Amino acid sequence: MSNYYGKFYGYTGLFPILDNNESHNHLTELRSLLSTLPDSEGSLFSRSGLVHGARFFILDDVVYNGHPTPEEHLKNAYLVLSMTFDGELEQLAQRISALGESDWDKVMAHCHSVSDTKRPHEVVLEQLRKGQVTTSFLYVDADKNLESTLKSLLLQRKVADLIANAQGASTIERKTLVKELAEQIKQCEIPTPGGFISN
Amino acid sequence: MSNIRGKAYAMNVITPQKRWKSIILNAAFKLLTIRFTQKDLRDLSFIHFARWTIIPANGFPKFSGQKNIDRTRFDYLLFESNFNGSWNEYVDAFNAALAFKLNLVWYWSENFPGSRPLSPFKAYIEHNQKYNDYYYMAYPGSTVSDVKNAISVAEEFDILARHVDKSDEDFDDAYLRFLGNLQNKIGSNGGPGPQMS
Amino acid sequence: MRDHELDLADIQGNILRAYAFPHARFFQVSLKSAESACAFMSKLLPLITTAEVWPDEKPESTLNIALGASALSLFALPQGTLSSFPDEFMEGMAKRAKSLGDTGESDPENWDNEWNQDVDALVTIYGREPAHRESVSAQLNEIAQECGVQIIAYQDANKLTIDGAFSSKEHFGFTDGIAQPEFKHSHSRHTPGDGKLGKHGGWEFLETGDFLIGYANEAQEIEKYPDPILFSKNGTFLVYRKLEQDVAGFRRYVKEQAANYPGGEEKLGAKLVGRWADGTPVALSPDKPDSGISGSAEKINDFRYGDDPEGLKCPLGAHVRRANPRDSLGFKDNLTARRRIIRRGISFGDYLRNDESNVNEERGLIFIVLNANISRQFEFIQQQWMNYGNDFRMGDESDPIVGNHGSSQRYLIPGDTNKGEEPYVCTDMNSFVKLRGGAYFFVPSITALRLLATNTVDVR
Repeated sequence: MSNYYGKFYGYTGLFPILDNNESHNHLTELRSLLSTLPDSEGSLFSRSGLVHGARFFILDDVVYNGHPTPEEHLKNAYLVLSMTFDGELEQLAQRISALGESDWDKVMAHCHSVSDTKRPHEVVLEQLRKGQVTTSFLYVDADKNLESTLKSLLLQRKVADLIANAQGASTIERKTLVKELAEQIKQCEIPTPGGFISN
Repeated sequence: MSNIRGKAYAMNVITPQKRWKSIILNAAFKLLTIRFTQKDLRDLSFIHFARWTIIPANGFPKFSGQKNIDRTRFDYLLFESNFNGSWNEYVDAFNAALAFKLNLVWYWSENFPGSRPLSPFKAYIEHNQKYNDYYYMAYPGSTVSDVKNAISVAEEFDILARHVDKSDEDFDDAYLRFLGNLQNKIGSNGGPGPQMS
Repeated sequence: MRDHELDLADIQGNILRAYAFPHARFFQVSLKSAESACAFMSKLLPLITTAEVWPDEKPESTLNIALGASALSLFALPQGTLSSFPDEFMEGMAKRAKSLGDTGESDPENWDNEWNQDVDALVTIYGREPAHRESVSAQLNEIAQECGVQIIAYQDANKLTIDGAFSSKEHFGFTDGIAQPEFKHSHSRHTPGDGKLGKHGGWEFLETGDFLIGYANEAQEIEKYPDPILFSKNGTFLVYRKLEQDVAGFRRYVKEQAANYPGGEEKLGAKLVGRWADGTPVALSPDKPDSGISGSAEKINDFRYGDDPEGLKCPLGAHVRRANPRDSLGFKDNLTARRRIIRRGISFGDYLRNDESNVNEERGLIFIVLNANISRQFEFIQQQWMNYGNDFRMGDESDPIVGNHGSSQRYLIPGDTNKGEEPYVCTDMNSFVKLRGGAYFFVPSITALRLLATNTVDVR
């Protein structure tokens, strides 16, 4: 019964969606919002700096599988959030809060929330905790945190170039190439998570 | 609004399960958390993560202000996975390589037809799958293998870089070792990958 | 367990066993109307070559027919039957170009004219001599005229003649067609390595259902088939691709790269393909071809890759290792056994002379695949193993020989660094193969042809 796998945290949460009223059809509006929410570099989860993968899906009801299982229905529709990230839930909540007014608020505006009398960063944490369901089995095939992973991917590209360029070169030339790349890597920025990289 | 982001596919499957069967499933999960029994999942090498969560019948999160609370008859088993390749490939590979272990997990779900043969299994997954409204992936152009390779590359390069100020002979040896360890790990990646059909 | 014999008279020829005739002609036929289509089927039926075993002497020629999705719509088939054909077949190969990597020069908008339209029927003729091919062609033309169907175009193909004699090589100079799936009830000669890995070492037969519709397959079921089973059983699907080969470009590339490659030209070529020119698998003989192996049907295909995880003998991305990874992907060959394909390709055009005086002539391979499930078999191989490299841990890299490299690509030949051997990186590799056209076809059983001819496929 663990949300952890090594240094990774697997979070799953269900947030009941607000009932419709005269002015809002929350389910439809939430669907519409999610369909256009930015999902690449600079998006909510990208800016958190900790999230490897995240998804939102709407559990509008459970599925009927037919006889002999009796039919049943949920009274609430739920927004399900699932994330895999580095570290602890508190850290992630802090990062999201620190973004200020963000897509997080827009999404959660359609769901039941915890009361907001606490300090801002605790609101996000409380919301995440209240909606959380405990993972029974988590498996992650990864080793390093997000920052290391992104840096390694960048280095991998450059090492491939180095090996091709250093083919047939002398030892001195190779030493120079390696030295140059090591310097370059020390100084270069961590790539922004969430995007594709073209060669 | 897709299950696919670059080379990654996000799958969600939710199935009803009798409450007493959850006890058995939890015991099965304890078995699976022993690392050596996870070797199969690792050997499949295209599964980024797999997560099973049992939502107990009385366990749907409750917020104040809700008019109705859900107390269901069944527990619900939520399966979430992130993998590389197409849906068809993934389910096919599960069926080809992990049928027994999948049975251990899904046998307890209502109406589960068994993980073999393939077609009823596929139909069951499809029927109970929930599509994503939103999917974010931090490195969408890189697969599980690409990432593993990249991490090896970073480690090996680190070692090599420490030899630049050593003798030519030492550096040559280190460079050869570096090549030997990395020659199959520098496949280019980062783009959106093949379009699945 | 009773071994069911197949009804060979109901199955078209060239599926269970290759004809291996050296001369072929592929006709593209437009069926025009339901009436002319039915008449055509009726007239052709008695001429169709089946899978029945030939008595002592081979016939002079063979004739077979396969139907495109557009033909099925022409016959008055029930909607239920049409809807039960697989999506990829109904959509057609041209529409699926992106997912097949048929882009750039291989994009359908650049295909030969005759492939830029729906092809109702593909009629295939093989002849032992060119004269035999001509005589059956004449017969076909007559029947076509009588029935009111139109032959739009035809393509000739011939086993390559090199130095005045027939050769099993394809245009790049490599022996082709060695590994073919050996499945239960296939009639090919028993060759170790053609089947799947045996439970106790050795090799076993693959399941019939991945090559003929209506039989148990490797996933241990009879897969969904076009409705009704009477119509689809004993049929299969055919993939036709006219692949133009840039032989001059390939020869030039190998020569250039070999200038810096310690192993030399021949070895470089072998490391790209995974076999030496004579067919010796690099996995068995990494340093030189071995006629003791290539000359023996028992040995030439009897190998695995389990003892070569780093590709020191056969590079992980070499062509034959990609096309049939055997035990390379783990779980024995459970992940690869269901992705085998029958290949019945034959070359077109003349072999490029050493002085390249005939370089501007068209040459290449009419690549033909037979499989029961186009998307799980041919398309999967093309998409995941030819134009992509993740299963081999090689990222986005594509097959060196047939991959669509687009802009320049690299190919790394691993070196045995324990012996001081560095890997060799081939750089700036362009594509050597261009797709000129093709399509997906359904190969009906004789029963199905009869049902079509008499227009008696029932609604369920």
